[in-house]
Amino acid sequence: MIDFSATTAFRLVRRLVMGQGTASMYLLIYDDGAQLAIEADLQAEVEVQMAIPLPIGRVSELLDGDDSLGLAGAGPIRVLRIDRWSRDLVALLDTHVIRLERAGAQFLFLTTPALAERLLVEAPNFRNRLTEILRIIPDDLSGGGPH
Amino acid sequence: MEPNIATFDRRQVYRPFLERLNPSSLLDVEAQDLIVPPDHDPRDPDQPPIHVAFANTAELSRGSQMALVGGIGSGKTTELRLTLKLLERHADAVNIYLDLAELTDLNTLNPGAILIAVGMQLHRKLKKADKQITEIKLAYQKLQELAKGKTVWVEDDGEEPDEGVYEGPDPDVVAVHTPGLLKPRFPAMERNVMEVRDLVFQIAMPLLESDSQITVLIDGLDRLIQPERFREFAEQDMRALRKTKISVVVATPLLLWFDKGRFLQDYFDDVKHIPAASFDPGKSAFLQQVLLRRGAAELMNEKDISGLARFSGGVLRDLITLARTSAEAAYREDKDRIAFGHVRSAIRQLGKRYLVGLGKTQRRRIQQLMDNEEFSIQDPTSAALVVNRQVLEYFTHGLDSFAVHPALVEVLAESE
Repeated sequence: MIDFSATTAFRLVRRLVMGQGTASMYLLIYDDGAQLAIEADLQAEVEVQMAIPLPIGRVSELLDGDDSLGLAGAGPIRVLRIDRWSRDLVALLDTHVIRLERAGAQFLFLTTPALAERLLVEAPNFRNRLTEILRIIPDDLSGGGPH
Repeated sequence: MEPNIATFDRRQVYRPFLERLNPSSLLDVEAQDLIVPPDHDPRDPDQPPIHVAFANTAELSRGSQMALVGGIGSGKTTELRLTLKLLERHADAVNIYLDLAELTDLNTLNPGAILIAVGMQLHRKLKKADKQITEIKLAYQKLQELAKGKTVWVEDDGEEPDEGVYEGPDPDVVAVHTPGLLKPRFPAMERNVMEVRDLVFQIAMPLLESDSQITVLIDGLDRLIQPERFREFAEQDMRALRKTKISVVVATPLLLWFDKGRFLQDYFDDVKHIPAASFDPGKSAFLQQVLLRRGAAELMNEKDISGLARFSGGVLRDLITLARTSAEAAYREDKDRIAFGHVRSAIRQLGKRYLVGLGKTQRRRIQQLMDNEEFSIQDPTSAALVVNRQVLEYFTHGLDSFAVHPALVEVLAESE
């Protein structure tokens, strides 16, 4: 996997605070086994720095219901896990990424290195519209190094 | 008493810039006058810009069908919006801008669906009195049924219906079709598409009778990476609009531009291509102007602005991404201005994004291109590199050419 810049929840949320009000989409790649710790870090940081709750869902939820992409009522920040491969879902993400962008929210897509690589290859529109691709590591393992 | 000391808030330095780089809606982009309109056709400096050419054609040759081709992030939506804005100069203009991704799932779109969307939007443009006309009311109702589907309860006769079987008037006779020798240029229009077309005509009638200038601008179909799907819509939905006075401008997938069968040129009245923009400031200051219009001069020096332009490869969205990532890097380091280091870090981040998916075969093609060897767009691996923007298409001095994205070049060597 490509060595993307590393970040932590603290640093990422600091950027999100600065970019509040503008649409953004980050693809966050975590190492196997770190998912729960990262989600907990993100929720804690958003609550502390932005004083709002952080909803975490699966990206497959975008396919649910009549509201395709399930954007109605989405908060200013939303975490979406991509935890399994689905060709239909990737096709939907790729062709409808503009709708996510126009939702005006900040989307954080959480996934593993293997899924990220497949996703980026098969969804060129999505790749092109991503604000940034980052490797996210738990706060206590940061060692002060990452951005 | 506490002294009144204003606290410096660095967020306020960068937020306005980020908001101008990435406004929350297209309307905001227009309201804030953030678009730098190109001053000529990107393939011909002697011709007017694409949006002017399209608007002129729609105004003078009603019923024209025009295609806009360009890679991901090349500025197709911007050109469509500029065309839309220009068309508003005439009071009788009825303009419809459709982003199909907003309306339906493009991956499961059926022939006729685009026509339905056009019909629905045309209905919104009718005067209240026209909406009350019985034929129009019925046509609109039927269109809605076709769009959303309906359930009809019928009496159960106990027999299994044969799906899709055509029953003629005489049950002892079966149809045997002998194909003609003269192959039609485009396949026959499907029956349900013709039905939708008639309903759309009915709805459009008051506008057509009052001699209105109707133009439909369709965005989103270019996001269908496989050009076959697009071809299907052109052959059905757009063809159904052919004989009306309704003009159409549609964004199309890039690969169709390189189609050996010349489908676009055969089918459409006018085809315009947006190649990657020139990033040489000696030839064009367009990319620099895009950043300056959004306030870059307040935060970075001229050299770094040129650096961003150069490493964007002339891809507008990459230019915006680079500027944004640079600003975020500067903010992260508690700096009040964007410096060379932040720009460099942004370029490398973008380059790494393009590294994803490069296997041995892709790297070989890229190396061949960098060594000035042959690069054939007909080769599927090369075509995928162009679609993914790892390789960009340019048009200079009357010639098409390809080059590896400069941000990718920056990180390619160290990744091997």
